[in-house]
Amino acid sequence: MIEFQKVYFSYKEGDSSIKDISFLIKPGECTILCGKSGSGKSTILRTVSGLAPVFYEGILQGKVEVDKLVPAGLESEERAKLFGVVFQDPRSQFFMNTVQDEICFAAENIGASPNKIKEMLYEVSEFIGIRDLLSRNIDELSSGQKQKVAIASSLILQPKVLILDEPTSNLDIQGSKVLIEIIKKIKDKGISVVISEHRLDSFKEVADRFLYINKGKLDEIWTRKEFENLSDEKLLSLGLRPKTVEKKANNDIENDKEPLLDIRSLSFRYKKTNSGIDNINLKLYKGEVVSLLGNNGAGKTTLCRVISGLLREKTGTIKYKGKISNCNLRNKFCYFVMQDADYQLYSDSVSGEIAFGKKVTEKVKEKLIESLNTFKLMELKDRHPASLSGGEKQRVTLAAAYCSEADIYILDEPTSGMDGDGLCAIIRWVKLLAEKGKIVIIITHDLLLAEATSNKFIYLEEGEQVKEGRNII
Amino acid sequence: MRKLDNRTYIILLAVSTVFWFLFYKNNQIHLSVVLNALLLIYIREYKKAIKFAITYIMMILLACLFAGKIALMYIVLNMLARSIPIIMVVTCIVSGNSSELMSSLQKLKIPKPIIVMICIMIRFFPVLSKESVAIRNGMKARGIFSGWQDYVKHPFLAYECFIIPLIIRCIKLSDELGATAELRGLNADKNRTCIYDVRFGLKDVFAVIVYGTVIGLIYFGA
Repeated sequence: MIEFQKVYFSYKEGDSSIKDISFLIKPGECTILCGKSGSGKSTILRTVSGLAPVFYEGILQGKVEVDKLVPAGLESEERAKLFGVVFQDPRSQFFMNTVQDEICFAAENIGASPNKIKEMLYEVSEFIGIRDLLSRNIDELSSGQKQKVAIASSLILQPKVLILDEPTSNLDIQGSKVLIEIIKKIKDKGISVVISEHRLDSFKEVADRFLYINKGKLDEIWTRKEFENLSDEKLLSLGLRPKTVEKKANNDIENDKEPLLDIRSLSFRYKKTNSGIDNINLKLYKGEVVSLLGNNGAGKTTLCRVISGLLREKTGTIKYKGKISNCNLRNKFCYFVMQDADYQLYSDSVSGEIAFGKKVTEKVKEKLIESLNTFKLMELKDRHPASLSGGEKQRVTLAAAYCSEADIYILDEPTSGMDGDGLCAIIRWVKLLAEKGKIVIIITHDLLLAEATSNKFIYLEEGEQVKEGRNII
Repeated sequence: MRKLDNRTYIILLAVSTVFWFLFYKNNQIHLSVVLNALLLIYIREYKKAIKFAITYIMMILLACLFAGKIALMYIVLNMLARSIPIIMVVTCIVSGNSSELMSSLQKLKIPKPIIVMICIMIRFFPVLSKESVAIRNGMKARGIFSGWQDYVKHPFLAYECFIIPLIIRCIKLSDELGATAELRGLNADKNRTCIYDVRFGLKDVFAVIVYGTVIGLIYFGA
């Protein structure tokens, strides 16, 4: 179905490229592209669909064939019929307001007859299991539902190849499982599936082969069996996420002291949706790392926004060092690192970013140098934050947090879209913060991260604290 | 929502814009706000009708307060209030269904690139407001500009902090939207079809006649 023979691609600006890539993908086969961030996975996906060099300009050499056609030479209509593509963030690929219109979009564009489109719409929505969502507004959907809509929209023209770019990065554990089931069904239809992904372990049921890309080259090809036999050391040395991590030792926290943060019967409700959190009780001690687990929409982020003072609690109290603190005060000692670092970078250099909003005194300068050193940002200190990679951006926000006076750090999905190196780095930074006596609260679906860093796990379900423990349940 | 054809709204927009330029008395603008509120009520957008009416009244009252004291404020508020009737008609188009709008515009023989541009723009407004909220939260979460006083003290810095991430996000989003458009056949040469039956019907004719007559009466009568 897909054939690559000695394919080279370099972008016009000449930054990242792929070299000498050759592989063959059969119909109904599921292939996972893995490798470090920036290794060229996305470029390969773009070359498969012909977006490189048609949309992303550059020089393509070698033979690329999909279903005996050359993707770069296709008309827009043929390309739409041949490929279904789902990007990492489904939000940025929706054109229409309602689910039904979105799914029909591609079919309408190529001028299919309305009756035929309606038929295909029902077929594909039944297949993906979103029949009940058809009349809903896209903005109201959860991220898992959005992903399903994105997949359904890309399948409406019955493409021969489905391309997914990091499909699990916005999904919870349940959502990932559903996605795997859908991919199985798609494979059974004879559609070839190509996925670029960091969380490889969840795909081991459906993947037929794993292609390991390193610095633009295809270094290794593993079958499912070979992948299962890879050791964690090997995966880590390749910069991939390991299958298991060393658990954090649990005996290093003394609980007999006064808690630094004492949360009692905390509740909050959003006015619009009436969703929120109910009766949360939590005691956090110096140097503790807590993982908040639970499905999307369980109230994890809401709880953290209340703790950090971004939202005002409805009932309940939050005591900091034994004193009740209101949301303005909490805003000072909490530091919330959002999932998408782009929203939190404002300055024109890394060092400016870290010291942002502070009067530059000798003390701040010292602290700035300490943060730069601790987070290994010395070499990057004069770069513009926007020019950094995702992992580096996250490191800058963490360093800025470190430089502030905050005692409590809240990290929202810090490892989403990160490779093995990124995961290890985050684990290292979190441990470092804990050693300095800070409290770190992590909102995550990434059980590896939770296991490696946390000594407390809290499960939320529909805004309520359902389980709490010292081990992952 | 009871719907009229998008072409009807475009005609109504054209008619009301022409008269809007001709109106020379405040009463005429007041009445055209009433007329457009009735239009919104007719298509069952009750909340929007009420919202616009209240905004308009507030602005006019405020403008009266400033009259004779701060001339600039009076002018600005009046200008804003005057634009409300036009915004009300635009709302009818924007809050409708993009697929139908594309189909209607195509029937009006508007070139495809312009249709695509209009539709992406409509799609972009809610995205922009969501992004803005996220940036605002990001600032607050970092403890920068946590209160309104900070905005007053450093307005330019606040603007910079807000606009830089917004631009970066928009570039990213537009890049991906462009790629998706290419992959989903938006650039195909064929005429676009639509699963909805887009038709200029009797009630559209009726709406245009009634609207035209009333706005004419407002102009000549008031």
